[in-house]
Amino acid sequence: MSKSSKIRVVVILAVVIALYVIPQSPLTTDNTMRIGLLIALYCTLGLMWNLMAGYTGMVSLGQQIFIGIAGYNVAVFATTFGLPFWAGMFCGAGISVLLSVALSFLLFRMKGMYFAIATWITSEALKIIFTSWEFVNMGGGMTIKLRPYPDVFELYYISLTLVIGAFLVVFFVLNSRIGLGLKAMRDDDDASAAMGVNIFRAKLLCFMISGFVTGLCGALFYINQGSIFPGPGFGISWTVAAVFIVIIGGIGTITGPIVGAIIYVFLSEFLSQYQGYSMIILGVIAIAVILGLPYGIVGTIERKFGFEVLSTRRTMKNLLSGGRANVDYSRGRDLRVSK
Amino acid sequence: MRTNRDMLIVEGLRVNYGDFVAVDGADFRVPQGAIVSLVGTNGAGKSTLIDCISGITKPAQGRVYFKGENITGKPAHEIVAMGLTLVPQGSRCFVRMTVEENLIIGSYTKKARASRMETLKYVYDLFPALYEKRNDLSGALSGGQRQMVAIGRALMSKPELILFDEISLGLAPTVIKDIYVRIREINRSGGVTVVLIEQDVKRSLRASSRCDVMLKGRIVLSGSPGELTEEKIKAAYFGI
Amino acid sequence: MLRKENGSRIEPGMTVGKAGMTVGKAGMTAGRPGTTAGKRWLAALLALAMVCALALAGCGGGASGGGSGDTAGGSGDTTGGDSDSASVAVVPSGDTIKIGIVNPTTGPLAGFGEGSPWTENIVVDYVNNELGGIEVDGVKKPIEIILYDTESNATRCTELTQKLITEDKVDLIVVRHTPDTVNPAVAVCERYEVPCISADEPIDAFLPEGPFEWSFHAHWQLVDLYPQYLSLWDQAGFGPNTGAKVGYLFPSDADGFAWVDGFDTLEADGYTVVDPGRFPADTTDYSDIVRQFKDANVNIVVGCVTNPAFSTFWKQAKQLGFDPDVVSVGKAYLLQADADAIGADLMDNLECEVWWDKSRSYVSALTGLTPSAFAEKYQEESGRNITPPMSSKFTTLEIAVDALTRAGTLDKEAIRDAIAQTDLDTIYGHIKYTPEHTSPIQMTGGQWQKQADGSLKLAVIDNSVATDLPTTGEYIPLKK
Repeated sequence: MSKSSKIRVVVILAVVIALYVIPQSPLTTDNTMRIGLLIALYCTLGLMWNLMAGYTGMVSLGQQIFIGIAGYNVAVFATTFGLPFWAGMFCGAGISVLLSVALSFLLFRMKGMYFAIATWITSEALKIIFTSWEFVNMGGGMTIKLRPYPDVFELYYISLTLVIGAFLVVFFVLNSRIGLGLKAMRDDDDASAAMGVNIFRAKLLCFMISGFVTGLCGALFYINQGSIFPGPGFGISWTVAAVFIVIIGGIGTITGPIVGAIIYVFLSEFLSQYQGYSMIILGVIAIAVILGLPYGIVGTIERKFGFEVLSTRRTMKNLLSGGRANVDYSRGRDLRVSK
Repeated sequence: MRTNRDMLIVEGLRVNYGDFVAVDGADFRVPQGAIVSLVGTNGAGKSTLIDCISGITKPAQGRVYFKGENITGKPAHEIVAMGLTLVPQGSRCFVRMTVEENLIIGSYTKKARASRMETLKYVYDLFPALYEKRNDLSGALSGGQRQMVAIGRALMSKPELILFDEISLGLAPTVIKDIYVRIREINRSGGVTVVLIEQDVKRSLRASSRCDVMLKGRIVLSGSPGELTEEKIKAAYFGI
Repeated sequence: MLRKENGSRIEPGMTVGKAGMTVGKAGMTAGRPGTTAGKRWLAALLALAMVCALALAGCGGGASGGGSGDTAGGSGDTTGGDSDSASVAVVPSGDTIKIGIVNPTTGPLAGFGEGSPWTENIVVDYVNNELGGIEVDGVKKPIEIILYDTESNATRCTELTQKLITEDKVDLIVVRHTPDTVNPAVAVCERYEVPCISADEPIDAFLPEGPFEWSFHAHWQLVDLYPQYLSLWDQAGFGPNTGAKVGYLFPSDADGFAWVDGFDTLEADGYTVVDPGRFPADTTDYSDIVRQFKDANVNIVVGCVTNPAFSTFWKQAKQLGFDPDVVSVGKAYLLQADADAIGADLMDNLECEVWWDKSRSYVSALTGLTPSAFAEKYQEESGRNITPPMSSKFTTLEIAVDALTRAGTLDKEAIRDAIAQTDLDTIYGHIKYTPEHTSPIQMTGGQWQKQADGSLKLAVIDNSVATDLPTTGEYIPLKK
């Protein structure tokens, strides 16, 4: 391991430990925890959208499918059956995965905008189903009743663990063989199939991961909210938030969503003063960033300084040895292949 | 009917795009160790034929045998694993990945992964320019270099048969010449059977041991460069 | 126009950014289609988000005729000077009693949001200037209102309610207008154990979210709706067991399902029901429903749809020659602006339930204000007609001030217990909470009537459910 990557690991570990320890200080209040919680959840949401759009080229407009499904799961489990929240949370994420598998046979026949629109239509269909489903109180929505209700500190720790887990999953998937295939698919899926990438399986894996983690994220969002309605639950605004976060942070970068989520949460807190204009201001900022920094904030910094906080670039060296041994294949050039 | 000498056999292949028949009952054979060129005008169905062979498009009718095994309708990734690799038209590099990542992708299949270190050495040896540029994004390369990436990437999959789709398209004559030298080297030293899709009849006759002419979705003429005169091929080529 | 301009401006911008990336860097052909397409869809999505935002903002301005702008101006006139700006401070300051409000100022519910913070300021000014504040723990403190816009979005509503509680540290939450606003806020208050006073959502939509410990709600209930509608139909000669045919116009949304349940005894009461089923709430083609009604010779149309939905339905009904004897539909033309939007000729003699109007003889025990004086004041200062939802804005604050005064402390449990014991005459009627934390309000039957000058007026033509309330007009048959 090189010196710079050692420093990097130490810094990352220090930040993670700090995020776990800081809330114990007397200075933190419910409010700082609430904001930390939102950042963690929005960051997870962005990461999962980025995994699909930024790395595999599947631009989904239907992330709210998983949010809504998981949110309703928590509500039904807690309110209707009186079960603890984690039961609804994991069951919701599980159903999201099953749903993503079921949908994949339909959705993966479409590419680009057709995929995007199909995911959106699916979420709209679910919205209508939930609006007319008596079991979930139809359009009247459900209140999530938990006793005792997890407090904001608890939710913060769960969300922090979730976002760190999401980072690890994304990092390891992208650094795996499949990750390489995913990145190839993003550039050219026919050509990557011709190279032996099983496109369907790779896409499905991403969709399933995205479904599972977004599901957990949605469950936590709604545990924090306390009530769920089909309209906002399956609303496009979840995906709009994810897109904003990823574009601002930098599409196709691993750390972009952190920056994007921090900006998004603080901005929407701040903009609540300006009644009615917050969406417009968010839109203007997004457009300005796209025009001025087409790779997003993190993407632009990485390009300018040639530095990636967490790299998924491959060289034969780190691929073969995990960066441990000294494999100097450059000498191989002297090895003439026998003719 | 089938002999062990024929590495690839295509029988009565038919591919439709909606109502349009792109390949209309083509029969095509590739002997082991040969360089076979497939010539024809734009829209004759050459690319469709080899896309279909490599599993990217599905045929409506007909059979494809590779190494004696029926591979008709198999998905592309399984066909690659068997040792049949396509170098698609226009190189189709993964532009947002580095040259080395592109090459590593080539060794995506299990079989190829085992020996990818050696193959990578072999590819860098064959194309020293790629070694120089290994950490550059392949999108930043010249057309010729990108074509080298595509060939190198295909070699990384340890193919027994490579299909080159119009490899010379849009390249400078000197670059084309260089690439043809490499292809012959791959064929000779690597023992890889080669199918070249070309529009340039002269060049294909010089390079190949066998030449097939395709017209309106069928193979209309087939033979060794000795048997075929340029005039004969041209007549078949334009259907006169 | 604004939309189009913005929508088309984003696209090229995106493509430039993209082109800079792929062409400049790569200058090649193969990888480009996929990548450009990807970014183009992002552009399209953002454009869409922008357009939605603009459309919603436009709605907010349009439906209520620039509601928030007008009312803000109005409030300046009322109080004149600094007391006004201090009363609705966004940044919490000093030693005040803080009341947090989430209000749908923009978005599809903006019509309900009209009149904030003008209405709130009346109460704030009265308490701070006339009463010199409210005495808590022996000290008189002014009240301060912190008001956020939910953008008609339940998720945003939750987030802002949490912000009010954790960041602004309000002592009490006040929330009104539709289940989409009230229920999320109430859920947060229950969780954070903060007292909450709510109104303007049918009690039947509020109750299933309970049981409640911290929230108290006042509005009408479905139990009163059914007899009220039957009485309206009776006036037109279609009472129970007259064999009248009733056509259902209930969409597949919260209100649609709630209302249809309220009418489930119709057949037992001798009516024939023609039910085309729950249709999507945003349907734009009603010709099939109209034909079913027409073929069945429907006498009465009953429903609960949005204003644009009803407008489309009713125009198509006229075009297809469907002429019912009675049209009684909830929600669609509750507000004057909504009725005006449909047009006086089409609206003439259509009926609906009335849960508040300025003719009612209530008197606010706190300020002495009556509904008619309230309406006049608004008319004077904004030039606009008062809306029923504005009464709920006023009343929730009346209840809050009353409870805070009786509690005499900012202890949340004490405030909650004081709210529970409310027994107060308000501009909304008499408020006294049941053990389920609800207080039903009175309902009458109304009819929109075209006046000689061509304007529309809502006349109260039936008070059989609340006999102590006055009527202000006579039933006029619907013209065919």
